[in-house]
Amino acid sequence: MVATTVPRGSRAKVDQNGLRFNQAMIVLLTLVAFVVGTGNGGAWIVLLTGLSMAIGAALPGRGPFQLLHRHLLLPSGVIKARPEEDDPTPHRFAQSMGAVCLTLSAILLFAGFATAGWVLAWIVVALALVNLLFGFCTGCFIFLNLNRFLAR
Amino acid sequence: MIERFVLGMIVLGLIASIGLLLRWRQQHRIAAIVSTRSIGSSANGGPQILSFYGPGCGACVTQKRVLEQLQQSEPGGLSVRLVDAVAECDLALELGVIVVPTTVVARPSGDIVSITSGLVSSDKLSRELALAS
Repeated sequence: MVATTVPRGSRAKVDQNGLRFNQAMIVLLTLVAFVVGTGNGGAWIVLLTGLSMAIGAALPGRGPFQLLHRHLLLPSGVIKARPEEDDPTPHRFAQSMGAVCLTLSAILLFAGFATAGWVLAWIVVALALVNLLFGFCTGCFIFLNLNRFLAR
Repeated sequence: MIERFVLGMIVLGLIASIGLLLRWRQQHRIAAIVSTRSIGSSANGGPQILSFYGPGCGACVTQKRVLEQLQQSEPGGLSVRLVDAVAECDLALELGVIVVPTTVVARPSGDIVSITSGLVSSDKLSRELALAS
């Protein structure tokens, strides 16, 4: 799904449908976690989703979602590959940030801070959903405008 | 559980609706810029590309390479200018640049043909340059 170790900005191809599948899984699993609730294992689902993202960021192509996509969905034809020239770096960064936020969310949920935990989880869902539906990188937008603000 | 499912669906719907509204607003704004703005005539009489980049943007490096390859393959004097979206913030904002890379394609006269956010493939750029020539 995501190219393995390559220099920043080099000629890598990223499967855009794989990225979308990853984002869809984040949205779906966090929604399922919210629906079942903290008392019925929701916090564990959030934690496992965060850990899956962390593995995907640390070991590109070896995250559970990526393995599912590559070894089940692609061969079965449920999803078609759509590799396009792209830089994997921002996607890995977003994956890392999502992993940190979901792991923190899970910690808050386990600690009994349900409101704070779910707000953080829903922020991750919102960012993933916006990227999934509109291809918009919120992190990129914030980073650019922060630099503009600091430069003024 | 049913209540939480409904609440979850409502929140997802709200997020999607806000995203749609913002996207419509940005598309509307870009369409207005494309139809009214000009970036000045080309020095060599060929179509022009302004490529906005920013700090920490790996995709901008990829975009730069795509543009270099295009410049070599396109006859007719394609003019490519790389613009720092932070240093030239005013120009970037005038052209509706909210993320980088953003690529502006213009005719030799300076009339804008398209403004595209995100990494643009050489195929898409070639099609837009055909419109700009």
